[in-house]
Amino acid sequence: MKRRDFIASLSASMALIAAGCRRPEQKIVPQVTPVEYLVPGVANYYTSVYIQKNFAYGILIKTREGRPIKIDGNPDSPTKGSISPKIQASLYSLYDPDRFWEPVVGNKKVDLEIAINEVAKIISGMNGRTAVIIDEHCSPALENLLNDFVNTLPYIDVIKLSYLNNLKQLNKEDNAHLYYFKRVIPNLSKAGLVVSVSSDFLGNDKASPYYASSFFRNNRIKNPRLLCIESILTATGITANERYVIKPNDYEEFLAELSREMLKKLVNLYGTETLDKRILELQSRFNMDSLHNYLQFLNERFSVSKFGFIDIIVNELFLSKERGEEVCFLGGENLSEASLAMIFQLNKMMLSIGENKIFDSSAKVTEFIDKYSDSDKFCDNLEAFDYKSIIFLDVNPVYQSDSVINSLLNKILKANKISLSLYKDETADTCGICIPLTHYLESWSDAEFFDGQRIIQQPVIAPLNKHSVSKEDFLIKLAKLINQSAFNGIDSNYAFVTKSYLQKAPDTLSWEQMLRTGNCGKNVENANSRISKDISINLNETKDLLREYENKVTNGLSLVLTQSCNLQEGKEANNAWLQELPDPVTKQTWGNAFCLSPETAKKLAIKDFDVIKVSNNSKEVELPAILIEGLSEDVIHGTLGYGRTKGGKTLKEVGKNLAQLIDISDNKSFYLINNIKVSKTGKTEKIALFQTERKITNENLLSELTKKNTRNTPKQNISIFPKYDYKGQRWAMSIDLSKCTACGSCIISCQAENNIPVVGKEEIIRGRMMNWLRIDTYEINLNDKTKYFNFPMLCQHCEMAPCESVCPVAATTHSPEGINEMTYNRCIGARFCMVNCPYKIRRFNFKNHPSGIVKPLENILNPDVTVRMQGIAEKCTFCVQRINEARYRAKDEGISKIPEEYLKTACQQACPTGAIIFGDINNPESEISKSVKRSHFKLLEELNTNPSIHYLKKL
Amino acid sequence: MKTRSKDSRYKRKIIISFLWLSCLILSGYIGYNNSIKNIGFSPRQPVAFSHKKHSGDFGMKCLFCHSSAEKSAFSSIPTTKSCMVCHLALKNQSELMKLVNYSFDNNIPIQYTRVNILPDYTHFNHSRHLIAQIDCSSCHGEVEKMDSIRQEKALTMSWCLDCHRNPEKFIVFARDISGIVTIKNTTKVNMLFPKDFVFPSFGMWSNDLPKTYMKEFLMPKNPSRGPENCSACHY
Repeated sequence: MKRRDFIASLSASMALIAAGCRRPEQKIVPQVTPVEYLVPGVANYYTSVYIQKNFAYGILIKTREGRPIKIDGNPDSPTKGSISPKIQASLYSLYDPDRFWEPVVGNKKVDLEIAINEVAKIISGMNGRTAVIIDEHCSPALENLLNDFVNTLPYIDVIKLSYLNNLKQLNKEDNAHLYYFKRVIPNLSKAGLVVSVSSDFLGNDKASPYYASSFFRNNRIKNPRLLCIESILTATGITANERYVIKPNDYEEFLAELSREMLKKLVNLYGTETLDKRILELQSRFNMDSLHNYLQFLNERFSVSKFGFIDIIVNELFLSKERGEEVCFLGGENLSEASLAMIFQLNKMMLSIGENKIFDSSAKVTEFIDKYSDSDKFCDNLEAFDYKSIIFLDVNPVYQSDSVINSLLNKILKANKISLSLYKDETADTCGICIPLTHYLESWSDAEFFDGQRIIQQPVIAPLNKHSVSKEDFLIKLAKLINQSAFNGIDSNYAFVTKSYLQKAPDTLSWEQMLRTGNCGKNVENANSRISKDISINLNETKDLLREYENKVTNGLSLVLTQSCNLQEGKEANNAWLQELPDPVTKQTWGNAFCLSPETAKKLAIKDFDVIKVSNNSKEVELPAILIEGLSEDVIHGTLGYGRTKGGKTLKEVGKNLAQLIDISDNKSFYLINNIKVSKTGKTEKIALFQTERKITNENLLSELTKKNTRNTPKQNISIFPKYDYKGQRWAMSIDLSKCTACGSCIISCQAENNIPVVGKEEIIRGRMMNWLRIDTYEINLNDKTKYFNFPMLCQHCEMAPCESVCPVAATTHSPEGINEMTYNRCIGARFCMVNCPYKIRRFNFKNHPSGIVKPLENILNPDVTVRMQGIAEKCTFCVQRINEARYRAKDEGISKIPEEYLKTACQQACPTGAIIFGDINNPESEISKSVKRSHFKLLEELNTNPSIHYLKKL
Repeated sequence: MKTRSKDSRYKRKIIISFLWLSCLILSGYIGYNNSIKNIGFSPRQPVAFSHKKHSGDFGMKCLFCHSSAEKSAFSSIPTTKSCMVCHLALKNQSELMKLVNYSFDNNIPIQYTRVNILPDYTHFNHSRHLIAQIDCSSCHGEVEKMDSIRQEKALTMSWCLDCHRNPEKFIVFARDISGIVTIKNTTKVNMLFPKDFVFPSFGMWSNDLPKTYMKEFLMPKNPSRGPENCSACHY
């Protein structure tokens, strides 16, 4: 062939290839029958309920084309729209590819009906009792169903299993201090000052978002104060205005001393007119003689003054009281009973217990009283009754419980074990029959809220897994198979829920209206019956508790265990969103570690990331260490909820389970282990940290944070950018640093809204995280005290943006409304913008992360936002899709400018404390314009970038 | 000799590279026209539905079937049931109705091939353009004259921007056949229509409106320019 021919044929073939090169064919598949209210491309919202143990949240679920894509708080519900990262991330477990898909009997995969038949055969064919083990819950319908179930099948026992805190024998209802600690939900919207004693009520508490929203957002007092006394660094401590560190064994002494000083002041003030009437009224409440006695006892028993800061706390308390504000004390889970009793007395002294006070016993979590609600009794029962079969109904005791229950479970190995769960977890792995459960977004139920309202949990999607069954439906089907006349006439949980709802609450809003609003109005039967009962506690009882107490002076190291803020008890450990959400304090993702202060570490010659071995008795755990300022001396802090072994691919090899270190025989507290042994292993391990540098070195920022009401104006106003006049609206954001609790709600909300991929541990170690929004926590040493600042960091949308000027292809530009916009289809991945951004908020997709989204996880994607491919820079867009949507709505209604209430960014919507405000800064009436009148600063202002994000100073 | 041969070699090289380049440009051009612009794309659809018959001959409004176009970013393809509203009674035994009947009886959706395709990173919103009273034919061509649906316009970014910059040059204002009326703008509508006027549904009603109102309502004198910043469409 001649060269010419070759070239001719080559060109011809190229032309042919090009001619044949067409865009891949796309299909449009309309429904056969249209679904009511479903318009393709328009989102529908449904109300529902999220049940976290015995505390329920009202939620609002956004669905597109019938699939849920985002979960937000329902502002009309009793929880006032507060939402935690865990609730938002529960969407991930709906679409999780690792969910348990097919029922298993023996080792065979079978159909659902066959599996339930098998269970019925086992239960009815055996001469023995069956135990149904369930978790704590707050669903009256489930409780009624269980009662009916037990009535029809009398050889069944229902046993409630709860996690560690209930092992503490906190079930003595008559003890006021325990009752108030465990069941009553304080109304923090009245509190002007909260003294948190080792309580992480803004962190890992099950009601933490509700507390945060009522304390910061809905508070009647403008700038509530928070004092925190703790031995480890918690999210509450980081947020607190003042934080004092004491040793974990000193709480009793501290509280006794505080009570003593408070009493002294009260007794001295008796009869004088200096204080408010309210304080005088207090003295009438107590018998003065017994008060004197108590004081005398405290004087004798705790004579030494150990804590220098008590005066400051007492002064602040009384000052706040003089201003007419309410104050309260909150106790943490790791406190002893004596401490809780003293906290109760302190609250009583400060008049915060009673009707319409902070602690009003009409606001309480539901706990269905039954004979086996105590885990101790559970253990006794398991031994006493020789159970022939056990049904685990959505519980995972093999992982969750301590060694005692595990050994008991091993004893009854011979029993037929049946497990119902969302994932094939550790417990399911030991069971002969495993049945997949439906997700809560796929099933009917109801929940009793802390204020007594009973709200329905409605499904928003048909079960993704046709082999799955809800807990309630399983029980009904099982009962019907054994006894055909069971549940007369009711064949599904839906019928049961509607019937029990309409029976119980006939006067409330109609069924449809209740489902629409997610609020059943105020005239609930239950709410009416909730009369606050005044349980008093004798001072003598507190004295007795204190007498028993002896300070174990320990020279050794103590291990403090807390539940993880993100994973809590570890049930949703396979949730990649939650695993990648940084811990509020340590900023660690994908695993847990031992935290200790640099001083302690120096003593033990431990460096950052050294793997250390912590042993208690015979058990030992090896984990890397993180050095963090602010922990008490000789204290090591670890989080529970990690170290799962079974139930998906994501949770494999993530952290270690520290619950195995707990010694059940030590009755004082399960969250504090004294005299542990620590040794170095000589190994180091990389930890996936979101933030590695915790100190602020920038002098301008330091002076901004520490001084009050000073504002550095940019030194030069020279700019290479042409001056732009923002004629219409101009978007800006203000973030209140005093309100940010670093909970991470905004991070997950942003992740769900903007299709942000999960990158995994390795990539985070390389610093290649993809989150558009992160929360940095910085520490500043001020007069020998460490102060903490939470900085939500997102694209600052600079007016004179350094990234815009360097983009070679103009992929990042400025919009007429002040948004620094990012056009993905133009980006060639030069990364100049990332280098030039002083805030380090631009993200680059190094790997093709969207390719990791497998079926059915792709359904989680928000169709309004482009899924970015490999090699593209991305960043916060100020939720431009929401701005556009609000613009359309405003235009439809004939309004030229977008009203503020039409528009909320994803992070703003999710923030429980209302720290983030977004709006039009050109409008002087808008909330943002009003908020920036307070003293604020912009980050790195000396660079003359003029960001659109205003940080309001922490007071 | 040597120098000459060298020259000719260079010449040859230049010719070869020129040919290569022209090849590239040619294939690029063809590829661009085919795969980016894709004008004239008219695939065979599973149901031989004729827009010409339904819309052109019978005068059915676009919005009668593509009803979500005025509410949503996405213009919906009618469900099988929407077809069957009429076709249960009309021409049900026709050969062309075979698949539709099958779909309706067995609850299996019909898979149509998409003709006018925009990439995922471009967010085009139908309802915004309908509310601006831009006729369907501005982008889809005169569908009522097509037997099988065909892509008429380039649907490239420059094509979008041409219209956003100079709407008066390119826009076809809402015609009767489309059924577009800005019913969403209630304040305007209330001003224009008598108080007791009942709005019929399904976009079938523009013919019923008094013509004087229609004229004033549907023909704004100065069409507003569309947004040109990137985040108007790309996010």
